[in-house]
Amino acid sequence: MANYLLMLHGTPWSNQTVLSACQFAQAALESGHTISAIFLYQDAVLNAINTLDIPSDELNGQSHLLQLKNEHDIKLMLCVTAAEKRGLTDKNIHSEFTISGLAEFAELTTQADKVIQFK
Amino acid sequence: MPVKNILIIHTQSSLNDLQGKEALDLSLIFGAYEQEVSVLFYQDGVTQTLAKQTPELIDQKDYLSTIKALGIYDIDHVFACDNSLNDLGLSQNELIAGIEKISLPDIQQLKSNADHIFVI
Repeated sequence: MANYLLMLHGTPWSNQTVLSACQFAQAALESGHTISAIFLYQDAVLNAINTLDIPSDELNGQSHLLQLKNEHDIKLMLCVTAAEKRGLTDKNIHSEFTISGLAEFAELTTQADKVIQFK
Repeated sequence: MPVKNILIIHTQSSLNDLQGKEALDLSLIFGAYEQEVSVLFYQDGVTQTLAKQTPELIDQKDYLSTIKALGIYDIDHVFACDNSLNDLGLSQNELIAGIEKISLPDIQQLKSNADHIFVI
């Protein structure tokens, strides 16, 4: 069984890759693998913003990430540097996401069997 | 911390967006953690390695100078894909000093040797 670390690059409303990452994570967990974290980098940090207002019948990566966290307690981390540059602060980041950084990501990478990017 | 072979592949042009900067940030953090980092500029990414660029002319900061500083972080394996350079009509003497040309078979080898590969 493998330990996976996922890195996201896509935005919450317009990008299938966030959903693909969630589907991959779901399938990996069902097969008995572990996911150490899902790390949001570059524009993917926007998935953590707490003011998204997306119609319920449209693509919403954030809701898939939150569902995954609720069901499997997967750690959702985001790069603070990338976030600050895109207007996110501790006041508008959803509480289910952990503010983190590339340093933590680098550490997790050294412990992971596979790191998979979704972009 | 275990030491891994990390390969970061830059694929985007230098100044249209700042993907190259965010790729460099990743290299620097792995370098700071004393991981074995290699950097490959590939396809349009090779334009990031052109020496004579003046981002200031289009009101941008010169993040490209970080490429010259990779050695400070003990990142000494910095490559530009030979094929990509040819495709864009570029030659090695137009590049930042210290960047090695690398052939496609050698890129295959570089990828095989890597524990983790990041493409940005």
